[in-house]
Amino acid sequence: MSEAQELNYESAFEELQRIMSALQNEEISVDSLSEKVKRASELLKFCHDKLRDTEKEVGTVIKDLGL
Amino acid sequence: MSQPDSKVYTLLALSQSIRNLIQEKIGNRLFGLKAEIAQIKQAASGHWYLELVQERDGNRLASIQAVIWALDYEQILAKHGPEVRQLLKAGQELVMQVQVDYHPVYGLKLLIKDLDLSFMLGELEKRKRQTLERLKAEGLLDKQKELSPKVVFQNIAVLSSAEAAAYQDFVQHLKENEFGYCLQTDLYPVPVQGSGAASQINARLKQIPYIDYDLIVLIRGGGSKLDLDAFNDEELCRTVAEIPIPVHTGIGHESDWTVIDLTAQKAHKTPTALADYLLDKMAAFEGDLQQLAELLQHKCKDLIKLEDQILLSFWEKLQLLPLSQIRRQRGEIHLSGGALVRLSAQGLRENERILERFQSQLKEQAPALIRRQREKLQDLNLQLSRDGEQQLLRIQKDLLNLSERLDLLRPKRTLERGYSITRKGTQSLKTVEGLAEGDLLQTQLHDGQLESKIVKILKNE
Repeated sequence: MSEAQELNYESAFEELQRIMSALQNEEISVDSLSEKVKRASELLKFCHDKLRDTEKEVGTVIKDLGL
Repeated sequence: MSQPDSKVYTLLALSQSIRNLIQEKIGNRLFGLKAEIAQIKQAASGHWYLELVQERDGNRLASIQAVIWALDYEQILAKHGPEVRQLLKAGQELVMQVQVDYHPVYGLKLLIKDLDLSFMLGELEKRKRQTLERLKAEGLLDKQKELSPKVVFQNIAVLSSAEAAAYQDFVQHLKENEFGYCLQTDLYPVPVQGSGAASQINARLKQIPYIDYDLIVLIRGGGSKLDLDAFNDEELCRTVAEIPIPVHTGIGHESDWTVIDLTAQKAHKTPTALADYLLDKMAAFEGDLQQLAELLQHKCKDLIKLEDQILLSFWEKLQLLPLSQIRRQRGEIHLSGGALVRLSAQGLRENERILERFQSQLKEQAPALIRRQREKLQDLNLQLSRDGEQQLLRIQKDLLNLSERLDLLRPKRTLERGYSITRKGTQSLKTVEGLAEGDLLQTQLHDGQLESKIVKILKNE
């Protein structure tokens, strides 16, 4: 999935924020609602995974300092 | 002026008279004496031979030969310690206990029986204080302290005597540290006591490539005030003050500091204490790094936690918002449905009215319509019965013809006329194809049946 490869936390989060605020304000038509919700779920999962990876990586890096 | 004695004495007699006179007047009495050593040497016998002088403004006011017998020297050493050795040098001012001795052969000399070190130390203290005051006035005591403090010291130039136990201890202590730190030390060997020590240390200090080191340390084991007097040397201390990297001292002290200790950036009580300081500094630095690492980890964790909470709130909203939107939409559809039903009912009522109107119109006009239709039917009926009779006659004639022709075609009549039907099984035969000699055949005639066997088949040409 080339789209996912190009995605980073920042851009994913921004897109997610846009969708959430559109959802909040009911700016999304029913026609594209499921598509948008699906996209938001993907972005959420991506951000969540990225956070977990980052957390793990930080732990490893600090452990590798050997202090 | 007394009259010259007419008697002539021998030299010995005169010398002995002098000796007796001195014996009688002074005896073995001890005198406290302050004088400077002009010359001094120790004979192979262990006796010290000195020339004591008193000078003022470069002019010699008095001088006398003196001696420390080897036996007396041993006693002095036993009483004051080996540092006494340092005092026995030209230019040194001494306070001592002396006896006056006159020998007919060797002449007049002073026998040094003891040294007064308290005076010496007083002098030393006075000189030290004066040196300190001068250095302080010039701001030289602060110069090292003003150098930017280093976080850790890794490359260290060590000034000490290679053979000194203090140096060995220092290096060993650094090497065997429990943390496993590796400190690079380079030894710049110098004598750490004796008359030339100060100037040699001074020269060595000036040779060190400062850029290669974080720190210069001066190491020396314990010693008395006199032993350590080299470290009060003014020139040496001036050099230390001007060195652009930190100088620390690790001089074993019994009492107060030397001038070099006060000039250096930091003075440590012993070489081992200095080594501990360097290691502690490293440990503290490592501790700081550890703390920073922990802080870093915490900050990261906090950040991730915050993001996590935001994502969680998004997740919750994502589960609620679309459904609530759909529910609301459904509500709208329901409303629309109601409107539709209302409108439809209206439409129906309208249609009903139209139908009712049609019905009443129909009621009014129906009898006339029916009458008209009935008349039309009667006309048709009339016409039908007239045409019907003729058509019936025609049909009867046709039927008769057909009956006659059908009679001709009946099989019984055909059989009666001499024709027969030949079958093989149930199949009536129209061709010789498919038949074989010996096949059984049935033949139908008009009054019975034949069974026959094919003897020969003759096919038409």
